[in-house]
Amino acid sequence: MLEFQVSTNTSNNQQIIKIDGDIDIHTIASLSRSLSNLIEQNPKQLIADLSSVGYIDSTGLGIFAHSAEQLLKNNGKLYVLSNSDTVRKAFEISGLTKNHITLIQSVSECESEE
Amino acid sequence: MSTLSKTDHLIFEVPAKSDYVGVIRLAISGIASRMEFTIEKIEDIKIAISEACTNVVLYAYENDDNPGINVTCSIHIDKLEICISDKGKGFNLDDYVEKQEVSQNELGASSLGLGITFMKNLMDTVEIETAPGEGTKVTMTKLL
Repeated sequence: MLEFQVSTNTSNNQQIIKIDGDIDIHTIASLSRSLSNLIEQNPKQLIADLSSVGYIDSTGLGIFAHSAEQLLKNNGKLYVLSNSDTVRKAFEISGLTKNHITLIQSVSECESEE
Repeated sequence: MSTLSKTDHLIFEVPAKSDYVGVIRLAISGIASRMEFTIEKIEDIKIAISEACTNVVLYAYENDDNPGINVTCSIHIDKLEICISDKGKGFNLDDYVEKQEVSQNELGASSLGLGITFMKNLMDTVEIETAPGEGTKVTMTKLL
């Protein structure tokens, strides 16, 4: 198990939150606090970089669903960056990618939507 | 699968705390790996296990002084059977509706209530036995 770590990076209207480790019931409290702090700044684009996350379950997906709804109130949008089949499959099964969350494989994909 | 007998049963008992959900997930992924499941199937099993254990941690017990989570793995020649049970408050399965929207849970974090949906999507069979006051037992199988 990787040690769970969250780091953030801001540029213009874009916030990036990078997560390392497994996202599950044990780590969501820390992730939730970090996401809430970022969302308070009303970013237009919030990118959750999950490229170093190998595992996410429904508790983690719940956090991202909630974050996406909060962002939407200020016309912000949540992007999830991952190349992991496991992580992408979890988001797809949850149905979150239908309207709330956009899965991307590189940061440039969301910049092109500006 | 030369080193694992088809009749092997493994039993784990862990406290119903979030700290141990990842431990059970890793232990069972180790078993699945030795059974030579594909990586994709191992990932499916990991999520399903985690969802079942998370439900115990979140909903089964009223306080920390409890009998915890019991996990039994039965290794068959063609499948892995995993049973996750608790002696908690249980629930009425007829009243259970799979949630489709975000709700706040007692951890102050949001949960989709997707746990059972995930288990059913990722495993070949899922059977849930529960009743108010009777605890909950989830039996899942994944075919090799």
